[in-house]
Amino acid sequence: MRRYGDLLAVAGLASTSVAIVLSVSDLPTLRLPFAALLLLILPGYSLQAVLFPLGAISWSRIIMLSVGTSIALDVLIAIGLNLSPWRLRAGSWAVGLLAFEAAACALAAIRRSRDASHEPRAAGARLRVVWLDIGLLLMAACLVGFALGLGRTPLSAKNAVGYTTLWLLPGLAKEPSDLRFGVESRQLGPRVYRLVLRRGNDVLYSKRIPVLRPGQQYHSSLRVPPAVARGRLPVEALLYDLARPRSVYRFVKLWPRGER
Amino acid sequence: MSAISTAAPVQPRTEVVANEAHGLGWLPALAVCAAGGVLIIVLGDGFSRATQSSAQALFWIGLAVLYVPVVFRLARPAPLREERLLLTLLLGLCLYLVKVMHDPFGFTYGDELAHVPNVNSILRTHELFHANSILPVTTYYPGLESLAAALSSLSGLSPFGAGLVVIGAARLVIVIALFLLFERLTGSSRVAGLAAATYMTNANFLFFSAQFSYESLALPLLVMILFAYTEWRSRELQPSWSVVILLSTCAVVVTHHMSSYALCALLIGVSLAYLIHAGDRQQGDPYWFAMFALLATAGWLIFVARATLGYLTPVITGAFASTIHTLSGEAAPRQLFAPTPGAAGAPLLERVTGIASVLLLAAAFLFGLRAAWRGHRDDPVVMVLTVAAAGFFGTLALRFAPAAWETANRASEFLFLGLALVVALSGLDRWSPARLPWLGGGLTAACLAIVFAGGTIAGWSPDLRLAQPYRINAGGKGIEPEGRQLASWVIRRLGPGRHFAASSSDARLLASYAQAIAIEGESPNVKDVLQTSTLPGWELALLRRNRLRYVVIDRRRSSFDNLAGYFFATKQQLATAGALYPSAVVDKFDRVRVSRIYDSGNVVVFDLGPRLAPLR
Repeated sequence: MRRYGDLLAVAGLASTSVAIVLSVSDLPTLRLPFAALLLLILPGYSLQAVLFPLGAISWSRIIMLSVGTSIALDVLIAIGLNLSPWRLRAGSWAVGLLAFEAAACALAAIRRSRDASHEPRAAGARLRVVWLDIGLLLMAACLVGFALGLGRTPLSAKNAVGYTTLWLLPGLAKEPSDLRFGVESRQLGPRVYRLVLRRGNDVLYSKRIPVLRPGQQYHSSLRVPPAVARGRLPVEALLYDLARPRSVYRFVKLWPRGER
Repeated sequence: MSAISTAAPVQPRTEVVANEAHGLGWLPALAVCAAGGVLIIVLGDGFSRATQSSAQALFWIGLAVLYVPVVFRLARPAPLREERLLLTLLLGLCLYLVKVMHDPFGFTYGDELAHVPNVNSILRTHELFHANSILPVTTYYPGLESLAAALSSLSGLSPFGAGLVVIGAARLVIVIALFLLFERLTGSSRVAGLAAATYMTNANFLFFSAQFSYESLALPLLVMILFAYTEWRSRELQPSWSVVILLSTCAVVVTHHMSSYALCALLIGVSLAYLIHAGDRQQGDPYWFAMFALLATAGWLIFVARATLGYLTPVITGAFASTIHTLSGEAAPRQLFAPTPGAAGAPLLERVTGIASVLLLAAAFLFGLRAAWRGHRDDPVVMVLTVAAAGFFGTLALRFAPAAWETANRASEFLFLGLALVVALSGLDRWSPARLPWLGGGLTAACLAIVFAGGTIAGWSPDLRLAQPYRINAGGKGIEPEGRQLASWVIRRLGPGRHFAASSSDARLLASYAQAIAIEGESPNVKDVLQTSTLPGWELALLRRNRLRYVVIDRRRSSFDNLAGYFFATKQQLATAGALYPSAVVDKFDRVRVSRIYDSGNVVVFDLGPRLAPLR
């Protein structure tokens, strides 16, 4: 049983991984370890089990081959899937990898049964791990985890220069005479704006936008009269920062269709 | 004639006897130390991201805390083989974490953002070989992107997350493969650990070789192939190792052009070394592997990736021409330690460190050369790697030629395979005077620390060594810079498949996050369109001819730097003279009848109209 235990484990893990990655649509945190096993470890491990007799190579070679040949196999499987009718989808990957790993484990089991007279090489050096080692390794893991958490935390950056975006687009296909416009704030603090849409001297729209906090946006649409839609002047949108109301802060314009 | 060496390594006395249990040695304590080093660097990154300080003291202290103690332990005679291997792995993975924490929110290297569109394309179409407007040649080497897309679709991770995992796996492979390769060649796990630690000092290991780019996946496979070959030639389990070699060779060919050429060169070089040494084909000659690699590489190049010739030829001929011009005095030599021509050079201490690192490598190379000749001249692999080591010093001269610098830089991670081995053979670590038995190990760690620092200085712009403000906290909300925000707006409001003329960094962001066809640079010459204050007729004609409906004018000069253009600008940066292009660069489009649809201050988008380009 010891002779085939790892192969059974590989087959079991592969099946479980396929079931999880294909059935759990949310929770990448849950799917990731199984996806990584399925893609980056099990193919290579099962291949080295076919190629090398049990115990013939050291654990370091097994680890390197498990990951390295998994990468090599995946690259070539991708080429193969691209040529197949199933293409590169999660389902085709999962089934393809499962099929390969199962077949490789079966071949490895057959090889090992034929090598029944071959005694696996005596196990190499055994690592003796004491509680102090475990404690230190856990401490290291905690430090790394803390570093990762700190690194992934967005920080305030008072010297960074924020910005506000103004945009103006024609209506969607179903309502081509509309105008769509919006203001998006990426400033470091709240701002207040006034938005004016005009064509020539005609003001089409004027609004004091409610306070925009960082990350907030204001967008709306405007149905323009046919005369405006067919006009020869562009529609302009001007954004005024009420902290400095005399100067135009952002400016966009849209020419009528057919006038470009 | 002496026999060619292919025997298995002799176990030194410090190696464990089978079945004898032993502890982890200093590994747990050094793991805490290395983790502390990573945390110190992350703190430095934090201050930089928060625009509080750009001082690099924490960066260098963190690297020293991470690197020096581990190397000191590797240089000592006491550690057993398993501890050495695990320490090497610890070092390699912690250094990878440094890069990950440098950009924890998204890819920001130019090459990374050239590969992400391919991943998105595979996820969207479920097919390979779709066009890439940023770096077209990557389309024909889909190894990296297919793997990242597979992990993304299986796990639900974003392409960014999947890419980090894939490159992390590749980093694990290269570290173990380096150790095993050097151990196999020298018969010493001590030399193996030191050689692997020396390899990590090459200028590209910390950042460039850790990025989401095709070479970062292919190079580990190349090292694994070299190791597999050394196992194969020991005549144990040859068919098995043959399968590993052939399989991995195919993967390298499909993943990265230069790595496949380097693999061919190495295998052919070793085969020639066998021929020269013995006069005829010997057992262990990798002739057939070399031929297979050559045929596979040539076949892929001819039948699939012919565009590679158009991509690499100008680079190589440009490097050659630049070298000739520099040597003949026609062109001024490149200024060392300056990130861009005319820019302020690096601080004096960095220059001294950079030069000292090269001198130390040269000195170690000479001692190691003697050791390699005395102990390993019968091994063709060691001899070929020694030649590669010598070649590294040759490429240093190329760094003075402006257009050859990049070629020299890219060659270093291949040539350093040899240099790392030769340096580790120099034997400084074995110098142990009676009163100071630790002296050799200490000096080795100190010297390698200087080499590591010198490599880091040479390999990455000082302005970008620390993390930059990419996603910042404003009022409890995470906000992103103008270029990234533009890409988000485009995919939301305009939809995918739009054609843009944009700066280097904006084009990459649009291609990666807005599924846009974004053209940058000088072929076609959109760069002039985006940087000049006038709008001659040929510029509009160029935009129409290339169906570039949308034009992104980014006044920030940094947006034309595909390494620096992705971040929030600071008040100090914008106050610098020349930080922004004059407003006339934007105003020129307002004088013609084109719609101005987007304005975020520094970034303005013009729409030249639907008649220029169909929507799809």
